Amino acid sequence: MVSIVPGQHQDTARECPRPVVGKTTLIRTLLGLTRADSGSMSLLGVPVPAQRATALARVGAIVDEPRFHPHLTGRENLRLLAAARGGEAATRIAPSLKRLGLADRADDKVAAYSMGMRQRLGVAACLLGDPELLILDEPMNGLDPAGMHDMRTMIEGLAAEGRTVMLSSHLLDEVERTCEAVAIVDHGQVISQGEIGELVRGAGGSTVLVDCADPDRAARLIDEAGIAAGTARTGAGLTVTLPAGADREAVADLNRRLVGAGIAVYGLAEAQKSLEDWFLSVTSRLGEPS
Amino acid sequence: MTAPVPLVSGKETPAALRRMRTPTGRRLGEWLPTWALITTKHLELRKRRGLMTALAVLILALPVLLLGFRLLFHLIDPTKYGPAGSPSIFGGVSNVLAEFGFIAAATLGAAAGTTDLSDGMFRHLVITGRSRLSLYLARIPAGLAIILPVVAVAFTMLCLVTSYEGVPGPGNPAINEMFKIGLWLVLDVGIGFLTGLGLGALTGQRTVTLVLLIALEIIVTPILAAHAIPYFLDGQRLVVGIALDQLRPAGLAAGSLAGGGGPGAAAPGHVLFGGRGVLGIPPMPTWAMICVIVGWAVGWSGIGAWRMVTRDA
Repeated sequence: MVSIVPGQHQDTARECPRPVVGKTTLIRTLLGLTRADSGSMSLLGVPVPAQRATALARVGAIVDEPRFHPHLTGRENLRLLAAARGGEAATRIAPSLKRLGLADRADDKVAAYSMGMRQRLGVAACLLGDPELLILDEPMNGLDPAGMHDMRTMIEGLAAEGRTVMLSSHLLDEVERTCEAVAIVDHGQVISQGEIGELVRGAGGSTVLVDCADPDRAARLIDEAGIAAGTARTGAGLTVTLPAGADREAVADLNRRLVGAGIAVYGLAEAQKSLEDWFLSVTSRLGEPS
Repeated sequence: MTAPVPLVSGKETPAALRRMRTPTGRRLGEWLPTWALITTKHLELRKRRGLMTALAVLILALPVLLLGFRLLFHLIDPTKYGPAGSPSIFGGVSNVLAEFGFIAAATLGAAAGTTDLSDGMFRHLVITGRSRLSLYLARIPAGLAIILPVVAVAFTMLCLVTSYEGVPGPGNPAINEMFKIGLWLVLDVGIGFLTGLGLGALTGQRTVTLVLLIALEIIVTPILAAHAIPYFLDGQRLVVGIALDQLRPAGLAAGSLAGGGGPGAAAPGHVLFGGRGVLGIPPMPTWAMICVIVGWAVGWSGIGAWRMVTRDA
């Protein structure tokens, strides 16, 4: 069973980063773009495909590269989609275009749009339904750094409005910057999911870079005190690996002990594990025999 | 892009907001296309300049050129060239209009059946939750609303030239005969559109669809219609072009530019429209020709709709 649930906050963003697991297929199946061979699914608690229309009325999604009728303008493409959505969607065309910064180019043909503009038009199309849930599959693909920044800001803005944004991406750095929670799906199974901070902290001890007067003596002191999982000399300083699950208080304790022993401390810098480190540690275990 | 713009004005009452956010699943799931869906699809097709130019050339330009040159030649040398409104010109241009109208309609149908897919819009449309059947059905009135007026303009022009530039006599088509021919053209073009739409939706490829239908119209149908193949006559009659030809009004059956002139040609009318064809195979029963024509319209629409419903977006 695959169950990707929103986190504690409604604005939690989701990500399924494991490649070769068919995360796009999972999204496509949920959205009714392709058929499932067997099993059952629900989207926002609504069974799909049985009540697909009801579920999708509350969902906006971009799957793969957003493409539109190139001979129509951005506004006309949205008119087409608003007509398919029905309800109040047509009244949201202008606000959506304005919000995505496309108001000035709305009457240009899509053929003249850049990749970034097409991505934004795709998001504008998602907003026509005033969705509770947005599913964005690789939204950063093909964007330049400025475009990625804009997209990140926009996603944060949508989440801040109380919408859930599910982001599927290979770009873990972008995911870490944008999302609050992640899920790894591997061969149809959710391997791990949760808040990014908790997952990264729980994956293993963080390291602290210590810049002090006598690194050798400091290392001996720390080893004898048993407050670290390990120490290592790095250049003129010292790298201390904290035990798994250690919190910020452990860093303060380390500082107190060094200062108490008369060792001058010039600086302490916590080097947090990244999402990529956590991802690699989780996925590398997938191949291990159980 | 950074400044958030609310999707609602902020002046809505709580009830209005609730209504706006209420899932519209049941309405979306309905298979009947909405007016908005039809008009936007019409817009999408109408804005294809190349396609519209092709339709204009195939349906309007040919009669205009034929009639225009005939008017000019008749003006220059009335003894050698008869009036542009003569019955033979009327019959000939009507038959040309039928041939090219079918091809133009099939071209439009193929475009309507494939462009959402080829442009990548089909995926967006499916994600809206709208019934796929409804999306398919919206294409039918949208496309017919383009092709039929163009044919109507061309045929009206022909009728006007025939009425005002013809010579009074027994061979001239009467108003009711013109009306019958107009209806038959509408049927011919409508079948061409539905076939193109269905086959386009089935193959997903516009070029393949067009090649197949042009081959059907200008190669397969004339060959099958020209000769009765022993033990295969009923099979030949399943071709829609032959059934349509059998329904061809009497005013077109005689003196046609499309040629033919077989045993069934120019037979006196005794069925709905009375033409009994300009081609060369024995007549078929009225019920059979109606079944074949309806079968093609419904069959291809059903196949196209089925493919659209089951296709990966």
